[in-house]
Amino acid sequence: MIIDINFIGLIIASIMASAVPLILASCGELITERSGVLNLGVEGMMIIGAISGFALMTVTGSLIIAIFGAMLAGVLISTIFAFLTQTLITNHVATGLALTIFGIGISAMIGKNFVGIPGKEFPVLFEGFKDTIPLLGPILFGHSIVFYFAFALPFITSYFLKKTKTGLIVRAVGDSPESASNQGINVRLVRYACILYGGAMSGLAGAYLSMIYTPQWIENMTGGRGWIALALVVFSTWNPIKILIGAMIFGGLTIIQFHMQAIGVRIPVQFLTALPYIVTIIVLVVISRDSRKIRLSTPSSLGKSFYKDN
Amino acid sequence: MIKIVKRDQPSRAIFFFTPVLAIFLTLVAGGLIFFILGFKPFEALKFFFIVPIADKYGFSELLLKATPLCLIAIGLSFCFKSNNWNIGAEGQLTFGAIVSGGVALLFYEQEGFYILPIVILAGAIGGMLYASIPAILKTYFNTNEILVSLMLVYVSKLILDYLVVGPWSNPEGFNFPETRQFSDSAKLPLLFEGLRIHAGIFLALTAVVISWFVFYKTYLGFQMKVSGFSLKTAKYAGYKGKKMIILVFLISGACAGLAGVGEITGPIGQLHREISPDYGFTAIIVAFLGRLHPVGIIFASLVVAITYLGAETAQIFMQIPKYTGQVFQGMILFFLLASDYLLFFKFKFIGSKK
Amino acid sequence: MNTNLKISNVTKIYPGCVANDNVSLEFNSGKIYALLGENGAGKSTLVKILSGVIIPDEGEIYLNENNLKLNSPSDAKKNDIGMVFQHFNLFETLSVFENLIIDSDEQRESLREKIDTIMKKYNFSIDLDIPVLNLSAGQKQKVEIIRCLIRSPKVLIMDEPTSVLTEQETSELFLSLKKFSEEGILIIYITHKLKEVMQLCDEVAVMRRGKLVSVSEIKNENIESLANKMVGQNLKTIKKKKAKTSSDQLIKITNLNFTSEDPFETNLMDINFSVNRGECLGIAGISGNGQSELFQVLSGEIISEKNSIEFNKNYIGDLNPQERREYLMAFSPEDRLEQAAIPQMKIFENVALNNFKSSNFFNNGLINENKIKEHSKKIISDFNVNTENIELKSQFLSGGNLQKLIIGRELITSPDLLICFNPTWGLDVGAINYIHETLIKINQQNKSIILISTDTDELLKLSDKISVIHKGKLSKIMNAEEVTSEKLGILMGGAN
Repeated sequence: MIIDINFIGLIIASIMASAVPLILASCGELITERSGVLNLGVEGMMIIGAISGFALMTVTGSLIIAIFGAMLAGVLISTIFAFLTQTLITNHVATGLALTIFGIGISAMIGKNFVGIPGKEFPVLFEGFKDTIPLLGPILFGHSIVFYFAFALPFITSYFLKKTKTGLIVRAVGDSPESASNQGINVRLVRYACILYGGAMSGLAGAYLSMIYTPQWIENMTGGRGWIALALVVFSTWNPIKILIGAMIFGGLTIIQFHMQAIGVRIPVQFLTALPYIVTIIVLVVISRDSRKIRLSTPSSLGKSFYKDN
Repeated sequence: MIKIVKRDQPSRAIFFFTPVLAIFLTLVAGGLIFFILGFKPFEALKFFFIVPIADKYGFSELLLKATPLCLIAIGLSFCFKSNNWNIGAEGQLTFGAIVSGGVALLFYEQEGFYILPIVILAGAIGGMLYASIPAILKTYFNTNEILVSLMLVYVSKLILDYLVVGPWSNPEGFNFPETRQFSDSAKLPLLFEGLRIHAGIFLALTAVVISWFVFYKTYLGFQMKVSGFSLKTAKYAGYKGKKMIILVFLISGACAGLAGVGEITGPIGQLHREISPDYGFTAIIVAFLGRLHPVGIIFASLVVAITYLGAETAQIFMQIPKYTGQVFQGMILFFLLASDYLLFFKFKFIGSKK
Repeated sequence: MNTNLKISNVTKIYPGCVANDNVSLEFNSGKIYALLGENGAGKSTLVKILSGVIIPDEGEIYLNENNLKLNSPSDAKKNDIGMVFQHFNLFETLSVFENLIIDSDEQRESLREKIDTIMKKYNFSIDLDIPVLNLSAGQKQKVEIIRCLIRSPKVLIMDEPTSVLTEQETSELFLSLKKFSEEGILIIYITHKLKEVMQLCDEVAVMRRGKLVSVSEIKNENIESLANKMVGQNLKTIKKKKAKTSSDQLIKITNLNFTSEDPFETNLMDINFSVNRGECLGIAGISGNGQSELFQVLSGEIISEKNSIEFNKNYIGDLNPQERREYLMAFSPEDRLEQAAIPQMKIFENVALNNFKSSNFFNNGLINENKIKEHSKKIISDFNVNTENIELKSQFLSGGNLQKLIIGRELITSPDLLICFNPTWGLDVGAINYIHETLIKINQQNKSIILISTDTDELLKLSDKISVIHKGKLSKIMNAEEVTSEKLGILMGGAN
């Protein structure tokens, strides 16, 4: 059997495409967690981004408005979380759960009028180069701008955290909000910013799903990707580059599942669909066993409220 | 001038007042949302919160929905009180339903008094088995229970889906994704003619009584309280931390499993694809709204159950999307958490200086 | 240029306590000032106001006649006020250099140069590229000092700087501080240690219960006069009478090791010692050298090999704290608010944390509240806890009363051995004396004590034998009368 080398390229490209929303949401959440905030509302923020992007695209017809609108929606919804956890000092876990429940409800409510409407084609870049290089052509070219952004994001995030002053401040706040505050850093402001940024990235991840990946609105279309994104952050031990690896593994699982069904492998479809969730659990177990490493890489103040009494 | 100051001590009166405040604020915000959507707020709220329970049937439906919520929330309060974040009750409910449904199918077309207890027990065991996964992974592999229990929800729903579509589907069922009807001996008896409220409510009430007793009268309850405040203290006192984590997960899984039993052996009497409208997640809100107190949870489960009914009624009569229910649930939790601020802080009015 | 710092009528009130009551003080550069007071006297509040961490309710601060508005730590920095906190304000997982650059506006290269110059000038040597968590306490303090020096401060405030230092490090610090002072930096030195004030400072301001008691020149004072001003009464000196040494061995630790999975903890290596009945073994050391781990291993919070701990002829290394209590051991951890007691719980509930079999606090899994309450009342009266109400949440007890409650809870079972860790940390003199007297008393009743403490004076006062823990290893065990604080200092620094 001869396998077309470009076919392999296409499969890899499709794996990458399915990794995009995970990379975006995980990188956003990673920044949030690096500042010491655990936002379990990723799923909720993503689904809000998905419906906002799709709705704005349908209503305004502008893809740019839709993409930025989805990010703004993510920011707005995460503002609720930021206000509750930072200003009213609520428990991060409970607030994040509320955000997810609320987000799923609101998205379905808004989305009622958008079910069944076909999406729009999203422009891709470098379409013409696809056939120029075997194997690499389909991998490198012919993708949306969001795709390229997603694959640049882990490196940008890594550079931001390691090399910039602002990134240093984010890490410092996550390490010890008390020390940071005594050093004159406005902890609340930094954490607000990181939460809102996480919201924007989750919103973008959602918009990618509803506008580019499967251009339509389906209720609950994030299907647990927000939770997997959260797990990826743990998997990466808070290192953005490793998010890339993790997201590719999960993207691969999703794609392989389609191809196995196509080839006619006799495994119940439900088992294949369950695979990413089961693998997430296994991966978490394997990573968490090295408690020394987890302890060293987890932001020390993760999930703990900080209150400064003047 | 108004100044915010920290209270010397969290106020006990406000502890029980804030849930009421949260519900009130949710109604206000809900009215606002209805207004934005173009409905008359008061009329919409009436359809949402009053019409559904205005008659006998509605009230029975309220209890029907409140039963699983209460049962699961009671179980969750064991976990939450002792600092364990089990958020996968939905999965434990589903798995409990699968196991008990499987057992019920074994007794297909058989009758006997012994069948129902076995079916109920199977559900509890199913829930416990499923809850033991995050518990064991947490205690022995240091794995985050939030993510594991959550992932298992998706897995359980897929297992259920596989079973009702595949091996367990009704042979005479024209490929509908459902199993055969359970025999009458495997069903929880209905309490009143023509109403759907069933004996599952007694399971919930029993759980309430037992949990109250455990929380406030037993050594286990004391240990849970201590662990909830400080794991370091629990260790210093010599409590067996791992054993307790597993125990509270098992209790919580059993309760969720029993709720699953109620869903399939009650009025429906078969396994099908969607046995629970996310009761397992909503119960998290119920547990918090009820302040992890058994009596509080009873009230909270009734309040939250209305959001389910209200959403259905509002959809039928006003074409308000039924997801509004979830929106309300999310808002209740938001407002509850927000109003907790009053527990620790108070507003002080200060006369302007000079 | 001469620097003049003036604090004028500063008041800060917290619910239930006046931390600073109308305090006015004036400082001039060229001198080293001591701010002396007991724990809780208000000195930390005052310097936190100076460094912008706390905003006063009333009062003004002037630097060279300029009225300063210090609303945040950055304001203090902008006005050239530097502060080294008692609890370091460092970021453990960040590198030393990152810790230094974070509040500096300089470029990486120029800052590195500047740091090198400073380190050379004052003879500091610290690797800039390792995470702070790998540094010793003395090195961490130097990082804090460098952080201040980078900004060429006019004022440098040191809050209880020697509590984590060895004797040698302390004298090095004093040399540096004198050098800074000669260079024109105004030094304010906060402490409750009288000896240090006499050794280092030129002028001393004494605070008591939020109020400024006196300002005077050191040459007109001596240790006794300062002590009286600080405490407000004549100090009672407690002296332990030499106990009759028994040769009846109570606890023996053999080849005990502990390797932690937590990188923030210290591993214990080859611990061997024994304690006889009626003896007090003191374990000295600078905090963070394995004391907490040693305490946990002895209490059973960390389980070790069965044979590594022999207590009263039983091997108990694999038992948890509750099981060890059955053998008549008792434990008083360092952290009163997060471990030894739960502030949000009532006094009698906190008493129930020490559940031993004969207590009957819990019968057949049920709570026996009457029994617990009865017991609690006895503790409160026997151990002088200043309240009648056992339903009171323990957060309303002062540190001293809470510690009495904890010690009482542990001692009411008349254990053969009490293991305590920094039992008088943060307490006022009255409570410290009470605890010390209690510890002496139980020794006299032929009960034993293992006292892990970072307070050398306390150890010298109470111990019959002393050992020093350094990087998880114990020094040889010495008789207390052969030991001086200088000698302990050397061992605490890691020398043999």
